[in-house]
Amino acid sequence: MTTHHEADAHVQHVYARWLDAGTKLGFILLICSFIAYAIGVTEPYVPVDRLPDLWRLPVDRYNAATQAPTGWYWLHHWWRSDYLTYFGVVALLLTTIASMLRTVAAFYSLGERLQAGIALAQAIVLLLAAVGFGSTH
Amino acid sequence: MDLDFAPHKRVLAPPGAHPATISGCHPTTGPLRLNPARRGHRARSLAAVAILLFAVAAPAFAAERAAAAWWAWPLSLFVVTFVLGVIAVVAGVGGGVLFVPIVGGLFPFHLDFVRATGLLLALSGAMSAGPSLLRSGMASLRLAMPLALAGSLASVGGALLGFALPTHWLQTALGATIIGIAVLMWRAKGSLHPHVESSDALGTRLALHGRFLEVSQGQEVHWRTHRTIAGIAVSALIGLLGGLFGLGAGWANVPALNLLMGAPFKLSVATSGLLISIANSSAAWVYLHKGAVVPMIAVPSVVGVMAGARLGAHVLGKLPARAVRQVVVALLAAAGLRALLAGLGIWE
Repeated sequence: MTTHHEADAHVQHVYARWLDAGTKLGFILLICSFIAYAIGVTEPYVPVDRLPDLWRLPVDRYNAATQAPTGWYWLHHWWRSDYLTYFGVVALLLTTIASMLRTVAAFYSLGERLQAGIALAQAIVLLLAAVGFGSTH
Repeated sequence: MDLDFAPHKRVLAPPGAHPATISGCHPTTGPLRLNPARRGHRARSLAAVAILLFAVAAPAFAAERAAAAWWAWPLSLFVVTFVLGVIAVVAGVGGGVLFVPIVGGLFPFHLDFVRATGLLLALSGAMSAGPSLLRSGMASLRLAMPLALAGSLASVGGALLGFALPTHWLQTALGATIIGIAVLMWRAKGSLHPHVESSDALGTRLALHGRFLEVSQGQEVHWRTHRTIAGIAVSALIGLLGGLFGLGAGWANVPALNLLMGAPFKLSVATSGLLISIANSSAAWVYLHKGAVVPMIAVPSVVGVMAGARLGAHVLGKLPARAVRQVVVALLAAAGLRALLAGLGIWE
């Protein structure tokens, strides 16, 4: 029979493994894509020499001035070097969701339904935030 | 056993505690009355701190003057955040709480972009440290989850509120919050192993107890928590502030877990990182969807702080941690005051 402590250790190791892998992937993507952005591998959506004038503005005026896409619409311009860096950020943010979903299964398999339910609720909150619930119009 | 974070008093750190991981806790000791040798040491300490401050401010002003060259900005941002990363580790504070008020005050970026970057920065640091803390059992996922759920929901609300509020309101609130954090850092005390007689009903239902190996003492520490509902409510408030201002929340999570819920100090510090990685993640989506993540600001900052933190961990014993922490608190108070006055329209 699995003790409370063994169950916790198992789930924590599962979560840690997923978190570790996703974080490393995210950082590698972030740094490689930024190097591509800095050396101008592809043309950025917002020219870099315009940035010093634009980043003084609030985000809604910045978006209006650049016609920059919000929500997931940046994927329409994914090859632009500034949006390439978004893949690293998204990988980092998706890591938490993937790790949490994996935790749901781990808790459930150990018969810890209440903890599995909390993890599932957490994953749903993160997924809703990821799809832009409440933040995109 | 009490831990006094106040740098002007004697600080009792947990045996073997590493200041890089134990926020606000340093094995620095010493009487208030200084002998001549100590005065000399203090003068050298202050000189080192002055150099650090110059290192923070100079690149920003240099970039302002060389504004024609776009590359000067990420370069100066990298230098500033690198120094902040070193200071954060030496002073035992989170990078996010330094980044938002200091970069917000030194650089011409709008607060929306600074908040988004601050959130990513806190998230990156917490995610990097998370796996090893989870594997060692120092962080408790079981304890973090109910708190993180409340924090996540509130941080999304905080982020949305931040975009709805006028900038000067936000700046005023940020200034007041930062001053509050500086006071908390100056005054807060911690408890190494708080005594919890019994869990409350919800804590028992959630099985909020466990054990971890205290490596420095070579013994297992058994823990349990209480005041679960109050802890969840406070986590929601912390999440709201974190989402609203883009601050990491270690400054508030650790006292909430340790002093309010009765978790051991080390467990509180480690679990706080886990909480940040989950709660900040949901708010970060809001900033990303709103278009507030500007890669030219965000990436050099994240890389700079991470690299600086690595150096900070190496030079920890060589820098005057106590003096750095004192100056960081003063710097935070000054940055908070600056934001407050800017928000009130007194010092634009």
